[in-house]
Amino acid sequence: MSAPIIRVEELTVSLNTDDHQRNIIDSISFDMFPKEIMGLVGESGSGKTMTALSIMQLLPKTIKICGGSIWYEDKDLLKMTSREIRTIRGNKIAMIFQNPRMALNPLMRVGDQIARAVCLHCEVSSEKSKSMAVELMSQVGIPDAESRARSYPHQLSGGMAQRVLIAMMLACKPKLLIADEPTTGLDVTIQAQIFKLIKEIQSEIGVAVLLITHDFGVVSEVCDRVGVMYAGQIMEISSVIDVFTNPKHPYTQRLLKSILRVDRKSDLDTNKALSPISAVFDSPGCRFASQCDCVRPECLWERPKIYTDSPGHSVYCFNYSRDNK
Amino acid sequence: MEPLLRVKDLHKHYKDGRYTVHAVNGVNFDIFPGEAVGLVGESGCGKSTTARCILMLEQPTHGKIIFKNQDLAAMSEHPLRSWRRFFQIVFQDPNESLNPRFNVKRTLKEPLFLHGLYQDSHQLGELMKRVTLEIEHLERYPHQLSGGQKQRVGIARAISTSPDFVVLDEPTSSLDMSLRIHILSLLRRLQREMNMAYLFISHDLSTVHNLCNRVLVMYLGRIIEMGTSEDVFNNPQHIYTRALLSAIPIPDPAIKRKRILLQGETPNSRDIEVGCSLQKRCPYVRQECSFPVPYTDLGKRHLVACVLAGSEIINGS
Ligand SMILES: Nc1ncnc2c1ncn2[C@@H]1O[C@H](COP(=O)(O)OP(=O)(O)OP(=O)(O)O)[C@@H](O)[C@H]1O
Ligand SMILES: Nc1ncnc2c1ncn2[C@@H]1O[C@H](COP(=O)(O)OP(=O)(O)OP(=O)(O)O)[C@@H](O)[C@H]1O
Ligand code: SF4
Ligand SMILES: [Mg+2]
Ligand SMILES: [Mg+2]
Repeated sequence: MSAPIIRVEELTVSLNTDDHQRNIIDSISFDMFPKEIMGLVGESGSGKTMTALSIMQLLPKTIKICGGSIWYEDKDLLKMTSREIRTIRGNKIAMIFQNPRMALNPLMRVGDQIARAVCLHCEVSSEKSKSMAVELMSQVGIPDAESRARSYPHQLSGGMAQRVLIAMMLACKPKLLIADEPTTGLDVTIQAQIFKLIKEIQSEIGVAVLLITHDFGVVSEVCDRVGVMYAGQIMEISSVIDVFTNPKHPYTQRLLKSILRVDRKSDLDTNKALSPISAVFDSPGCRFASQCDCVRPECLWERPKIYTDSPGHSVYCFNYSRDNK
Repeated sequence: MEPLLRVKDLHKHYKDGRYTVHAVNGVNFDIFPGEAVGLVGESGCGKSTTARCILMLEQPTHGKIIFKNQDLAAMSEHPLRSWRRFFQIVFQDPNESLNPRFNVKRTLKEPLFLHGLYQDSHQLGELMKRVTLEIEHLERYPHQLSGGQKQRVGIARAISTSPDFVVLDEPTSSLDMSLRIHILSLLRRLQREMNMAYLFISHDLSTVHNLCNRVLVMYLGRIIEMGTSEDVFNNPQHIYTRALLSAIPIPDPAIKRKRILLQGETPNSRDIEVGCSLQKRCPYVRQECSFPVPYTDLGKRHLVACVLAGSEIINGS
């Protein structure tokens, strides 16, 4: 297997308020390989966005990285100067967001915004960058690209605005694209178009994609591998096939049981409700312990060690790691 | 059995500058006592507007809302007020629908007082138990409750007057998946215990499939297909329904499906035209589609407004 393009090692991120510090990301580790699509799933508040923003070094002011490393091609992003970061962010690593309109400048025509991205990344005249912008727009499936290039962001639908962001991303030919719930709020028929586009681009330019979602349907159809997060911890990482056919972690198993499918009826009365994630952040052990059916005494005060079930399938749970010692 | 609710030729138009938005454009359906009917469709197709008109939160532009043999649309404000205890609504976002300055007790008491149904605090305790909340929660304010708890308060408020009919407008869309299934099972239990009819609005077809007996599929202000959940989900006959269903990703890597991709974006409900509203996006479009398309009844009231309904072209291959 080729070397990972990004390596997150024991990343810990904390939110400091007046009276206490809370690790909203608690020592997570994962690798991403070139050209793969890796999903990051988990319920609201589990830390998916903060993981992405840590890689981008775009965390809000109140939130600080307080441990770990993020390796990009042998360099630790966390030890770089802000100028060095800028050569990587938006260049080698790009991100698209849940609300594409917010990421665009509301006062500037979208064609000009793409052209500016082109100028930043390729050495071309501004004249040339404008025609390249229109080309990129039709490449991402925007009809009438020439006239749409003159639109302002508020004149575009959510789906079109997301295509514009994808076109800007294409201008810089990144090695890693982070997509944070890029279709939330869009209709499913538009969602299907956007994911088709992301997959096409991914295979064309060979970019790796970290796709954040809470939809296991999307994981199944779009991703190669997936990491399952709960309350700031990664619980399980595996291939997509394994997560559905051989889920190991009690949380993953619970989550999979709560999925409703459109192609068949499920039993609605099977699961107990989980408590809100915010209630479990201060536990020193496994953050799923208070809701886990397989809980052991050590789960409450010690962090589970990694257990490798098979190559590429890791689980953080004492039910397995105990036998592994 | 007599329908509890009959919606007849419902229209709701809005003025938007020099345009007219045909948010609801000639909708007909019945709801029978105790049944759960799903209303699905993409954003902006007119689901919430339909609901607001049925509940007379807005005056329809045209049409009849016959509830227990009375036309609500023709009723004046005063008698309508006393009818309101029989039909209620639960909204998508409990943060918007609950008053942040009211504790749960006050939120629940209000509709009961309004309809002269309030007896004692014991009644509120019973209501809390029904929706699996604790009595202590009565003293709490919305910011002291989790999302799932707030949504349960919204449900408790809606069922407090023992309505026959409840509209649920995306009640689980703001919830995480592990919570969603609990709210759905709660809703289903309440429906059975209290024999209420539901109109369950959602763009999440998986949820509707799991809760509803019948489904209405809406596109640009019209219902383009309706039938039992079984018929619509297992044997959809409108191209739009088929495209919509095929776009939903299935959480099972063993399943590979053929996707029907619609061209372009959902048009605006002010660009309405004669004929099938899907004609500009439909990969199967033909000449007949530009004339008004009547419903084809495929049996068991499975109605489909598509010229290809039941044909080889859809069902062959
Ligand atoms: N700007 C902020 N200030 C303080 N805390 C925050 C901020 N943004 C997020 N958090 C907290 O950090 C934790 C992780 O949040 P994060 O946004 O990463 O979750 P997420 O998995 O992306 O959830 P969602 O699915 O809702 O987007 C949560 O407990 C959240 O409350
Ligand atoms: N008060 C209003 N004034 C003008 N237009 C309106 C008004 N309310 C709704 N509309 C328009 O009517 C159409 C239908 O809106 P409606 O809210 O019923 O859709 P919906 O199916 O509930 O969508 P969603 O899934 O996004 O909630 C939309 O085009 C909307 O912009
Ligand atoms: S580590 Fe313990 S509490 Fe956590 S999932 Fe495993 S068994 Fe459950
Ligand atoms: Mg997020
Ligand atoms: Mg709505």
